[in-house]
Amino acid sequence: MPIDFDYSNLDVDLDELDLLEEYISDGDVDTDRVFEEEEGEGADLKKNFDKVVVVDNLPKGVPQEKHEKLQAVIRKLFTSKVGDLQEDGLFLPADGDNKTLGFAFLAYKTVDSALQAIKVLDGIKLDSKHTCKVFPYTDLEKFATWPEEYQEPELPEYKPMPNVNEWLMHPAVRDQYLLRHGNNTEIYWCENAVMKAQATLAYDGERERQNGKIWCEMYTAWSPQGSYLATFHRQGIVLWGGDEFQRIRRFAHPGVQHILFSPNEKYLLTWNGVDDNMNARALILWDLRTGREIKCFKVDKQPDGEPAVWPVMKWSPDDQFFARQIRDGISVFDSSTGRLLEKKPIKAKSIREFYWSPSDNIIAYWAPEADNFPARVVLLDPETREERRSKNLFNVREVKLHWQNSGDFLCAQVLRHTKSGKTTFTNFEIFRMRDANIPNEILTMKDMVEHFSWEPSRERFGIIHGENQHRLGISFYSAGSVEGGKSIELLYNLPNKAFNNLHWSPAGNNVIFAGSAISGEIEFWDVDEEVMTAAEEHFMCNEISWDPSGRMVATIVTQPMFGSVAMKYQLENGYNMWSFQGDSLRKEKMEHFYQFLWRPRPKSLLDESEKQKVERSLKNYMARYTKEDEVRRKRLEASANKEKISALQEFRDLCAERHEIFVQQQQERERLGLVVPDNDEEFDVMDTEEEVLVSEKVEPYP
Amino acid sequence: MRPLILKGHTRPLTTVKYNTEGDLLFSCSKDSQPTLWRSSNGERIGTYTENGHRGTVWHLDVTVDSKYLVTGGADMTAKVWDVESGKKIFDFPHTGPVRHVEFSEGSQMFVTVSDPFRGSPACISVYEFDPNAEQPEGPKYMWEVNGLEQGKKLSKATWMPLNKNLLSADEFGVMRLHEVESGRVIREVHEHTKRINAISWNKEKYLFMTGSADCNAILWDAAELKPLKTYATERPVNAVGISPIKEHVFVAGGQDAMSVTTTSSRVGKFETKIFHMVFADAFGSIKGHFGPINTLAVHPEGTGFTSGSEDGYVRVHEFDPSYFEMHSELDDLSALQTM
Repeated sequence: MPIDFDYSNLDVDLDELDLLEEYISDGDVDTDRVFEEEEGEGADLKKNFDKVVVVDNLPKGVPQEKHEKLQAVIRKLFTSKVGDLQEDGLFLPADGDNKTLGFAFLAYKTVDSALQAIKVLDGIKLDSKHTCKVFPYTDLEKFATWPEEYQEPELPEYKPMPNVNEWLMHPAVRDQYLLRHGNNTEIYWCENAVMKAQATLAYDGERERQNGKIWCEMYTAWSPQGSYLATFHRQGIVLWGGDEFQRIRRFAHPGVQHILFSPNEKYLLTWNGVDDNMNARALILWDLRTGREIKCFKVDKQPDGEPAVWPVMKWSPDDQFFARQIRDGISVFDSSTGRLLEKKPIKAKSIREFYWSPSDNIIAYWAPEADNFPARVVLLDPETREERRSKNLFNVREVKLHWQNSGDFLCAQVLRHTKSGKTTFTNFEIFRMRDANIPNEILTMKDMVEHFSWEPSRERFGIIHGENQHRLGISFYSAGSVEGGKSIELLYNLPNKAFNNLHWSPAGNNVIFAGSAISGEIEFWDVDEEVMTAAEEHFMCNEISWDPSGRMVATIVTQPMFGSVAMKYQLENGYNMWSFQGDSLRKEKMEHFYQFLWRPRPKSLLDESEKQKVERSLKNYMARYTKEDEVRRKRLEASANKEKISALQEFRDLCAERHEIFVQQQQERERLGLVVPDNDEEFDVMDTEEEVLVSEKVEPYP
Repeated sequence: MRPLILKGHTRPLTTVKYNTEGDLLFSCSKDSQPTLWRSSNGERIGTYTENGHRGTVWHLDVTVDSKYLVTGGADMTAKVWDVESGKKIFDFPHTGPVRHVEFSEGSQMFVTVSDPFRGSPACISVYEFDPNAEQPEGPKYMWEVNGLEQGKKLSKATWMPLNKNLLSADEFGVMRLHEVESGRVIREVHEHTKRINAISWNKEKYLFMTGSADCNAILWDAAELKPLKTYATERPVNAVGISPIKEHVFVAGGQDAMSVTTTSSRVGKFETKIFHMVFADAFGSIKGHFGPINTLAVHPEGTGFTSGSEDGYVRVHEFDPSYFEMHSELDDLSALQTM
């Protein structure tokens, strides 16, 4: 879930900082240290000891002549990875003969470095005989005063966690969405189309407001299965969940700009946006359920020197691994330890781009032509490091990789040029992942290709293409069956459709054609029935978002939180709700509107056969739901009507009263000469007819 | 609904107004040529230009018997005209550009609003109107508005029922109820937050509507000066009107001309919206102008309305039969109650 975030435009208000800190810091030792450190150098002694570590198991009995050499070795070993020592920060105690005692004290410049040293350098080998122990100086004191007798630790009181799946139990199975506007963060239930997508508030930060706080002043994000809501704060990320959005966990990472949940919500990656390859805590891997920091990383720029782009890391579909693209390779890490698999990256020469399969631990990547090697599309198993399939391609300009969301197909959209290089054409290489040896089939298109997308969970795909930008059409294809036999087949083509984008319903079949944001034209299309169900527009619309069940879709105009682009959208800020068929349900305007986010749902627990069973007995269900809807609609209408009736009654009563006064005043008006008493005889009504010559035209004699 | 498009003005429209019966339509614009039209067919009957205004004509009003026309212009005069002959009768010099002119009930008086100019403050003047007088007489009452800062502008002044009081509106959205003679402020109302651009009455003068640059129009109870309904739009409101036959109100405006020159007309929302008077929901909008709508007049019979725009055109709309047949089930209270 990439979130763009720019703190640089933000004025830091110190009061506010304190306030926000409460979200994150209370009781959390690690974070307290980080915050203290931010406050600058303190004279407090204890704090200074926090920067000191003890290194034990160094060589004993080293004579004075060699001290300097040993110090240099220690210095090098213990600063290169974690940060510099203070001036005179290395103390190597020696006995009366000036022979070393076998341990040293190191004072780092920051608490951060000291913590890092304990974490990273403990167990480091100086040589084959000396494996060093690294621990905090404060431990010395702690263990010196350790009580002799065992004291049973007090068990913290058990606090049950809120049920993060509570919202899935809504009696009518409604979806939720989040609105982030101004200083407000609001979560609403969305009623169905019959109820005109009516919104009922689920939570809007009431508890925080009562405590005099603002729930979230920056961006927000849902976790991929919808269990948690993440709010961004200057000090880090906070997760909320349960029916009342209780605070569940905090992840202290000052200046955090981007986060990425693992697909199954086991881990969280946070990045502070720094890509200088210096900041040791630029990227942090967290265990989401315990809140423990597993590992932190430096982040470097891209191999070609461009700034790093989020997501820097990509998760495997089962949370087990995450991977990063480097020069000529992919680094794959184990999620539970954060360690590089087999301690070395997987070789992938000239790699340009890679994606995990959405269903299996397979990586697809492509590499352009280089050093007499052809361009390649490769399917890689990161565990065995074997190439499961690769294909060489020639005369390649560019490749785009599109996984179908159930991982059954991969499409490599290959832009190629003819031998002369004058004209280009596009090959769609469709790989069938479920067949033995992963066979592929090619669809060639001479047209310019504007867009390609798979229908979710199905074997169909749509392409927007045309002779040029101004003559576009849309074609729907079937990639055939998942396994064996059937090949690619053109379903039908819709010429002259000037759209740039397809937005598939997550339930498949229904798709929205969208044009440019300025025109805001949208068409709702039913792929099975081959009909357009609605043609509408939402002026300036810059986002189209389907609800996770595919019942409803929102067209949205938001503005970025910072920067001048905001001006462009300001006037139109708001969202429109549509049914999946394009019935306009509700329109809302909203100032300073930053985010509209549907709450994602976990994957369905039903398997294919169970789903089909439901589909077969749809009629039975339908009757029940129609009835329920009808009852609800009537109730809603009745209450709305009641309000309207009383409003109308009140208004008309007032008007009648005022009219009465007007009539009473009529005499006074006449007395004042303000009106002439009604006297129709004053006028003579006459009907007259008049002929007017409008123009004259003399026909020439034939 | 195909409107008549009247192309007579060369500059942005400032005011359009029907006479009592609605057969005549008066318009004025920044081109200094107040014009008379036949409302049924758009025929241009004539202009009021002989010894006329120099520069923008901001506002006009016509007597209840359609015999005389008063116009106010940026040339710091109000002028009275004989409607039929087109001859100018009187000139009333002011201390600043004249923004607003309005006949009292019965047309025996009229009020003018003038802008501050060269040290003179914004002023409200009340004149006795006698068309048969030899010489134009000076204002009977003239006063500044207490509470309005020196150099700031008034936009409107309207007669309250029975001419008992005057209601002024200023560029900050403040309305004040005045004694006619002294201008003493009886009440001050802060409901709008920006300049009030329009005031319009219903036929029996117990309801009136205001439109403001704060994008809202408000319906008021005249007797208690109490806001009844608010009609929210997305753009500054320049013109408002109340239907005499249905529970409908008309609200028009658009993005300020200054800030739309580089964008398409759709951004500006140059449209007239029709709201339900009570439920305050917009159920219709009439587009067509390609500049903000500056002025609007509802036909006294409720059969249509006319809008004048910054684009220099006057559009005379006559409703289709379907408008009159349109019948919301909610309009019928008795039917509603049985539901």
